[in-house]
Order: sequence, then structure tokens, then C-alpha cells
Amino acid sequence: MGLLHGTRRALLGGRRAYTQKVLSYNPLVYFPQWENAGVVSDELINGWNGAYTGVTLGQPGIGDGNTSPFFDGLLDFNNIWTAALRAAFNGNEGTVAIWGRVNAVGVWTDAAWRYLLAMQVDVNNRLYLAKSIVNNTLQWQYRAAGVIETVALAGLTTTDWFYMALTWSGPLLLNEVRAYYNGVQTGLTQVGLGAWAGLLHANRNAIGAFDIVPTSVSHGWAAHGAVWARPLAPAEIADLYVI
Amino acid sequence: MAKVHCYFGVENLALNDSQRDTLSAGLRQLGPASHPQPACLCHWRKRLDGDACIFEALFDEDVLTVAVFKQRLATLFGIDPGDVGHSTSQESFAEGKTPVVTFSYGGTDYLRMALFGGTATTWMQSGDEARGYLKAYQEEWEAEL
Repeated sequence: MGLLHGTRRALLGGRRAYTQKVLSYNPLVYFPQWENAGVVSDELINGWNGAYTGVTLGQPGIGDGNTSPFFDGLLDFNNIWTAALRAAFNGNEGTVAIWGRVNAVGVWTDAAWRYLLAMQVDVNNRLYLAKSIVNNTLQWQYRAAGVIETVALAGLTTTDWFYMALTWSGPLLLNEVRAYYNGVQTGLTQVGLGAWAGLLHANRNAIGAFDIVPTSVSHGWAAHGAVWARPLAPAEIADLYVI
Repeated sequence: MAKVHCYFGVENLALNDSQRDTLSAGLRQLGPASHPQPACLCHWRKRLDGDACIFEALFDEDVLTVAVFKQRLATLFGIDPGDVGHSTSQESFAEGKTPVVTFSYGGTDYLRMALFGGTATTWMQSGDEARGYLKAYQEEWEAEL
């Protein structure tokens, strides 16, 4: 497990820190993105580390005492795919969440898709958290067997940090998708999911971009990306929004 | 050696696949061998058709001059740098200026190179020009529209 990079305030001292909170919910993988140097993105659960390309590390974080990387909207990404994650990931039930922040208010109207987090098998089985090509809009999407569940939140102009989360539970379980913005569910609960099929693609699972070409690169900062193997409850998402 | 952190792009005009791959491999050697910041290590992004690429790194300033670029092309392809011709123009993709150089050989244009933001640029200015270029040619570079 790579614990030698970045600031370790989160794991030292008596006061409960944000990273400890995330860990307390037992994620499948967790990338705090707190490094100040190097190309390794620490993954705190199993050491299934990500690999940075092009990011600028050591930038201001969410306010938890740790830093975050800056993505340039051009060439940057954190490749979070590993064979181990591919084997462990459950596309039919889970949660993804991440903090994001745009570089400037103009990013909201730059007419480009910018992905904070994308996890994909193929065009019919994927999920993502993204700034939409539509002005001032964030979009959450879960797609399984070609059945698409989308939630969009419009009217956004913030240049502060925001928290996106997506929970899903497939057709044989709760059969619903929920999107969360800043700890509160946004949009309607989506129902009638398809059944996820296939394994995560080696080139299409990233923080800060749609894929590792890369395309649709984020322009701003991202931190504390995590994946769970269960849909977190609304109260848990609300708690994770509190720093 | 002065350094510049910037973006440049190259576009294949008439190279065959082997020549294009040779050029790409050569350009990927630019930039520092190591650096604590991923942004300063040479990295790139290909256009969806594979015939253009944008590079970013903390470059030695001189590798981005026309003369040195010609020498690099000559070395890569085993030709006399004196036989590599060039023409220049200027574009603006955001609010900056981006010099564009077209390299030729034997009367044929083979390669176009754009130095986003020019030589006297900040990293952010160079990035703004590159982002402006990407926006202008979004359909050729982005998978999701």
C-alpha cells in the first residue's frame, strides 16, 4: 500500500479526519489523490494504485489538509484500471463518488464534456460523473446492457469544490440509480435498470477523463475518488460531503 | 539551458505510417527524463484518426526552434537538414498567438507543427491556445460530443 506520498495529516493525530471517514465506509478502492510528486496515485484499500499522466500535483485540496491534482482540460488523467479492480468491480451494485472543482467559471460554458470519473466496459455498460457539454450542467449516468439512466443538474456556476456521487443497484436487487450533489440526492430516483455485463476495459477507467487517450479531460481539480461495492445510503452520502 | 513548459502539436500531412510512427517515437523523447511533476514529463494525446498529436512537457527551449526541429527530422529520416524546407504562418485559437510551421521535402509538405502560445509563453497561455485549438476541432479530437 503506497502511504509515503503527500500529506499524511489525515492519518495522524487524534482528530477524526476526512480520509478516515471515507475509509470507515469500507470502499472497494479509494484514491485520495493527495500526492505532491510522482506518477503513482495511492489507492488506500488494496494498493491497486492508479497512474497519473500530465497532472499538476500538490494543488489546494478540499480543505481537509491534503492537496489535490490539477487537470488541464487537454492531456491529463489518472488511470485507475488494474486487473485486480476489474476482477473485483461489481457493475450491478455500487457507489462512485468524487470531489471536483472547475478551473474557472468559463469551464461551465466551454461546450465540452469533461469527465471527473468514468468506469466502462463498453458503450453499453458504463457509468460516469461529468460536466456536461450543455452549459452549466453536471451529469450522472449509469448504463447497463444499453439501458441508460441519466440525471442532470443545471444552473451551475460554482468555482468552489462540489461533491458528486452515484449509487446503483441492479434489476435483481433494488433496481434503482440515485444521483447526489453535495450530499443530497438530485433528480428522481431512476428505475428499470439493465443488467450490467462484462469486465472493465483497460483503457476506459479514469479519474479526470473519459478514457486514457485521453478524451474529454477535466479542467480543474479532483480529489477523494472512491468506489464502493454497495449502494451507500443517503445518510452516508450526506456524511461524506462533510469535511 | 532555458526551459519552457508548453504544448505543441504536430500534424501528419504526407508521412507514411512507418515514418509517422518514427516521428512520434522521436518526439516522445523530448522533455526531461524525470521530474516530480507529471505535467513536466513528456506526454501526449493523439487525434482520433492518429494523424495528429499534442505534446506537453517542460522542454529545453531550443528543441522547439525551426532549425533544431529540422535537424531532428533530418536525423530521424536520414536526410540532409538543408533539404528540409519550411513555411510559417500564425494562428490564434484563444487570445494568444500560435506560430505554425509547415515542413517540406522535395517539394512536398510532410508535417505541420504548431507551438501553442509561441516561444515567449506561460504554461497557462500555451494551454489556453491548445484548449482553444481543441475546441475549434472538437469533432476530430473528442470521442463524446
